[in-house]
Amino acid sequence: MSVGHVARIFENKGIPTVTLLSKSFQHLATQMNIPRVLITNNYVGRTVGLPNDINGQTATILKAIDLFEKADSPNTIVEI
Amino acid sequence: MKDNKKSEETLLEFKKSLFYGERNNLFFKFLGGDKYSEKEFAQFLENLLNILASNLDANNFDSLKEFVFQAQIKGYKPLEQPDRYVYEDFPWTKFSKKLSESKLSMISTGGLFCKDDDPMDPPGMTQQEAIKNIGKIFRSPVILSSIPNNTLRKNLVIRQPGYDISAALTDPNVVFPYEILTKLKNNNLIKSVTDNFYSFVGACSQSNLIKKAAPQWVDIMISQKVDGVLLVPA
Repeated sequence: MSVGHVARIFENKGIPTVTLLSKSFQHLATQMNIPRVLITNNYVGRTVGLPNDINGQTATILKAIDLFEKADSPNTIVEI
Repeated sequence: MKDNKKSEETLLEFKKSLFYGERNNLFFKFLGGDKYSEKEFAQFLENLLNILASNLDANNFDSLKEFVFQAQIKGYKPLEQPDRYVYEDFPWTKFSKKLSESKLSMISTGGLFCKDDDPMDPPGMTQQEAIKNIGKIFRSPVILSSIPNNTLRKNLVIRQPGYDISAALTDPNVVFPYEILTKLKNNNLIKSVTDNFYSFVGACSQSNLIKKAAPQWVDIMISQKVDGVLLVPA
């Protein structure tokens, strides 16, 4: 919920955001109309990926930042 | 070890103890909350043991991982339509550059900070103390810690009573992907990143976050001419 509020405030002040969410928190994406969201299939507390899985973590972050360029409308939600 | 009194503990008491109780377990705390009835908790344990046995035989733990993952999703799904923090407006700022021409920053709710920059006053609270004092943490000011993007892992501290930090202690990138972002910058996929990345304790007063803290963070980002911010919850 905290990231959703930061995202909303930043976007209203002119700063684009991409928010990662573990699938357990997917409901927040639509509840809070978070602007750009990447839903990850990772456990809570491991949102980016498993520890020391550099390839997996990198793939997640690449998909996340790709949303800066690709998302063209509010509340764009992409699931991995 | 359990004394005689403990041996009479009911399943419901055991279940509840996982949620900030005697057996607090921040990975499985969802089992102790209201999303799982006592009956569902018993079913979870029964299924867990069955899947564990079959996975051990197969020497393949994929179905165990999926079982826990699905259980966690159920454990965080609201039972009813929430009545707080439900919004009808759609905040949006267009991202107008290419990533290769952009400067990015990152904020994590993972509760990370540098060893010599403890945001708590007085400093030095441990993770276990934070868990015991989670109410105090929620009432504390929401403070954004600045973490230089070249910080060595050994100089990072993680303290956040809302989630299981064990994976982040092994590799902070699981909730604070600072090394990943720096690598992408070095590979020219991003033009630049801010000198600092940022973190705060996501288990915080949403009112304080909305009214006081986050609006101030906007100025921090604007002053650095940031083109976009990656937000990473724990």
